[in-house]
Amino acid sequence: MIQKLVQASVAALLFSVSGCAWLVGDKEDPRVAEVASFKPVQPERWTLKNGLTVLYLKDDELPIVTGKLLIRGGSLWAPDVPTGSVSAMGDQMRQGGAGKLSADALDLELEKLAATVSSSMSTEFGAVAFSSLSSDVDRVFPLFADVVLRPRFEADRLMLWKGQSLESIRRRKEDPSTVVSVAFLQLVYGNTPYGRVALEGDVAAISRDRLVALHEKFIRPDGAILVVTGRIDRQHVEKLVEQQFGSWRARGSSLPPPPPVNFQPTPGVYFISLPFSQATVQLGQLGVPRLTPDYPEIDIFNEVFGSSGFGSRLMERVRTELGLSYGIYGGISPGVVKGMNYVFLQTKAQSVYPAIDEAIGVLQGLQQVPPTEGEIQEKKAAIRNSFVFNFDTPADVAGRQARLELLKYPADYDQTYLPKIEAVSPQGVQQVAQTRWDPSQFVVVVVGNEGAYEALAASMKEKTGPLGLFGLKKLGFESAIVGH
Amino acid sequence: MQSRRVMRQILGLVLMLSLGLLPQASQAQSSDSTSALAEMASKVRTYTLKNGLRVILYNRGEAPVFSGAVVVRVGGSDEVVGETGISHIFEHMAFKGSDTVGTKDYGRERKLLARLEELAAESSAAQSLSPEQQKEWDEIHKELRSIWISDDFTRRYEKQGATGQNATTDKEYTKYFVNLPRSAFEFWCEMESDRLLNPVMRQFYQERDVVLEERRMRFEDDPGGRLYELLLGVAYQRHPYRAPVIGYEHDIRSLTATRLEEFRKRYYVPSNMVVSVVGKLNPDEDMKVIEEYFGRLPKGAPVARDIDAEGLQEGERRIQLTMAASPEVIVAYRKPNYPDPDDAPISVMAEILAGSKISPLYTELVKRKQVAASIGNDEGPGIAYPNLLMFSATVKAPHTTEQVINAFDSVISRFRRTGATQEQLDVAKRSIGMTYLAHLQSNQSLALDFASSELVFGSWKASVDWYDAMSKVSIADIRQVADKYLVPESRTIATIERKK
Repeated sequence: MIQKLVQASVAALLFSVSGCAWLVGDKEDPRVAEVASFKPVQPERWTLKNGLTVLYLKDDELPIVTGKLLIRGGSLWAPDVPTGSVSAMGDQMRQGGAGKLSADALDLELEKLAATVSSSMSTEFGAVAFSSLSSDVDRVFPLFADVVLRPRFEADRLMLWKGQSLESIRRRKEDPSTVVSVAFLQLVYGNTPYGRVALEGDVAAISRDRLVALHEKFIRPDGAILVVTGRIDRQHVEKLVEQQFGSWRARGSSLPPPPPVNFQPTPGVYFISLPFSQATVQLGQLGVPRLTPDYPEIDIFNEVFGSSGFGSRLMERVRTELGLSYGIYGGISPGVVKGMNYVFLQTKAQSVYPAIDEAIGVLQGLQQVPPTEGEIQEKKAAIRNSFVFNFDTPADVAGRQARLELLKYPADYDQTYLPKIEAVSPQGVQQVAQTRWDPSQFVVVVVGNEGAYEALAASMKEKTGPLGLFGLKKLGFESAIVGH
Repeated sequence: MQSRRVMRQILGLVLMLSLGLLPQASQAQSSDSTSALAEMASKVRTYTLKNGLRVILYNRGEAPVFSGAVVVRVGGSDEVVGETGISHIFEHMAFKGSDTVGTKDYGRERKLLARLEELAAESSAAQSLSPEQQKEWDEIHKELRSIWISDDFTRRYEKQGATGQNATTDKEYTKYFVNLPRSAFEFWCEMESDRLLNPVMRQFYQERDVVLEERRMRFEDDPGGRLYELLLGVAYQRHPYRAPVIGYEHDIRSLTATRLEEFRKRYYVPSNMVVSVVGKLNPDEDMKVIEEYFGRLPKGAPVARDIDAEGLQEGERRIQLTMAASPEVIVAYRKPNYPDPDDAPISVMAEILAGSKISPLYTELVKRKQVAASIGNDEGPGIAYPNLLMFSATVKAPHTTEQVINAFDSVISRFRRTGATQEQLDVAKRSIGMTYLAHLQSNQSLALDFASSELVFGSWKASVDWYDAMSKVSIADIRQVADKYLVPESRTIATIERKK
């Protein structure tokens, strides 16, 4: 309630807090030594003949077992199908029945077992997960394998999914954050696989045959990682995995590199008029791939600039000092090929110009003057000291390792991360602000009422701030989406 | 802030440990759970300091981390119209620091803040400052900005490695919580006790604007938030559950830092708070540190509550919100709260009716008739007073709210006639247990659940009793509560209709 931290929108940051050493505090407190000497248990790993890697870590605290299969692949590698097809396939693996069980029978069986199986596919990877009481794992694991290998994709369930998706598309306009993020994505990535947004026509065009073909294309053991943790022995896991996935056929090939971002955004202020009392803003530009040489500098930059809640300059200036916004955050979110640099904020209609102006001002401040040594030290300490939370539970440890591997992070990433963070200088952070951000290239999307439009138009006319560079263009929500 | 399902969250701990008692679990499972429950119970330690503050510690896990929670028994249900939202805005102010945190010169700052309050008192809470007053107001702020260290409190936490630091306010609680490495245990005790002991209401008038922004986001621009606010205002006529926790706009604008200070003195007293810590602990040693810091809090007067009970509902109530938004329906039935013996059967009944994809409401409304895109169920808005069992549905175009309500009613009538099957009952109980087994792997959830349970029911073990009751719910109990509570006379229906 008091702070809305950046979570969903900066997925890459999930992987960036890591390392191998601990801060030792300045007091003689035995608790400090406990943290310093902590060594998280590492998962055991083995690889099946077909290429499926298993990461296993025992956790006896509760009588449950959880597992997750991660697969590289997604809509980036399926540019020619109706938008939403890959995500429909991911959803329908579980929802459309599997193996010998119809969709209804699978729902009932899992409810009876108080177990869950879920499945999803996104742009870059897919995940199928299960949770089960330890005592029921011999019944649940085969159902999980059915969902992975033998989904039925029943037509009735696809129809149900379509109806629900159409309803959620109809409702998109009613949530300002959704409107702003959809429009921003489209204006920054255009009609590339990175920017696509499903429309009514896409949903209608998705067929069962398409789902079957996409399943065949993406769901493969080569390079896939299965994580299993909980109260279960290794031998038991080995047996289940061999029984259920041993004969899964390898393809012997891997995915081609992800497609490039062949799109040049047109800078400007884009206004979408909808009757909300607050104006919602997302601004920014195309960004960087993961693991650029300056990624430690980028991580510190994000902390200083806007991804660390109250500790960040965006929050301090726009919220705490000026009272202009409840929710404001931003940063560099690295992506597969090009991520995005962005700021998100919400403010009352009349203050939309000053809020944007102040947010860009915070960025320009970092471009002009490096952060202080003290500020950098604070951020380094924050990263170092919170590092332990990557290893809080066995599921965290194993899950993190699986994600790093799947996204092809170097094997020594964790070992080298904290030393690299330690080496970051204030000038390095300033360089990130200077080289990775260019306000003249900004796409600024504003969703708000007519009052917000008038306030913005009037201020843009008279002021010479960063927004003075741009034209103000009014868009309908539909016209902001490519394909309309 | 939205404390729906709080009861179940509180009770989750025990659910997860007693899964083995349920019919389908194996013998081995049963003994696993029983021993896990016994182990947990033996490790939860409770203490009461001399000043009346209750402390709950639970040592678990391997990683050297802990979740700390300070929970205060104050929220929307303690407020009256004219001052709604005061608990919530105080929660925001509790992050502004103290006489030593957040300031470069408290002596000077104190004088300036006092002058601001004089000006606020003369100008309807600084809403109608004269030009001269405004000038002075701005000058004082200019000087204050050179004294303040913005966000010092949270920055110090961040530096220690804090994650998940936040606070929430709901109908009966204000909760402050954070995860830290064990090395920061003493730091946490010092910071939390300091903000209780020496808080400074700095940057209050800026924060009041922030809260107004929050209100716009959560209520004015969120059709669901507005509908919920309307529903409570109709379902409750006298009880303070009727007012929104975030407060009415007028009330928020009328608050001053002076009024917040009075509020704090009344409610932020040790007997009205619980400190709860879960994670890697050494209870004997850690308790000494807690006592050293939290023992400094003065005892204060016990909190007296005099809250009007809601009368009997005599007839169905309906409220309609017409706006540019897609149709929604909430059907809310009045119900008693824990420890009433009907509370647990009602929760199980709700799980049977709407808790899964095999439930009758989902099957009929979403899968068969396809009049709704999704359904949900919840209990709230609080847990300390008689509350509501709520079913919600997002209407699927081109259907209408009326069609959804009719389909809903036909499922409820049939359920009242036929009752639940043994299989439905077993599945629902297992499902409630498993949901929280997953949910409560988190130190933070456990810490908050212990403290909340202790504050409203007088014991963190209240959850054990609820679980026992839940596990004993029979088909006959379900039929009895369905007959008694799923009746039109005691329900309120709130709908969103699309503005033409």
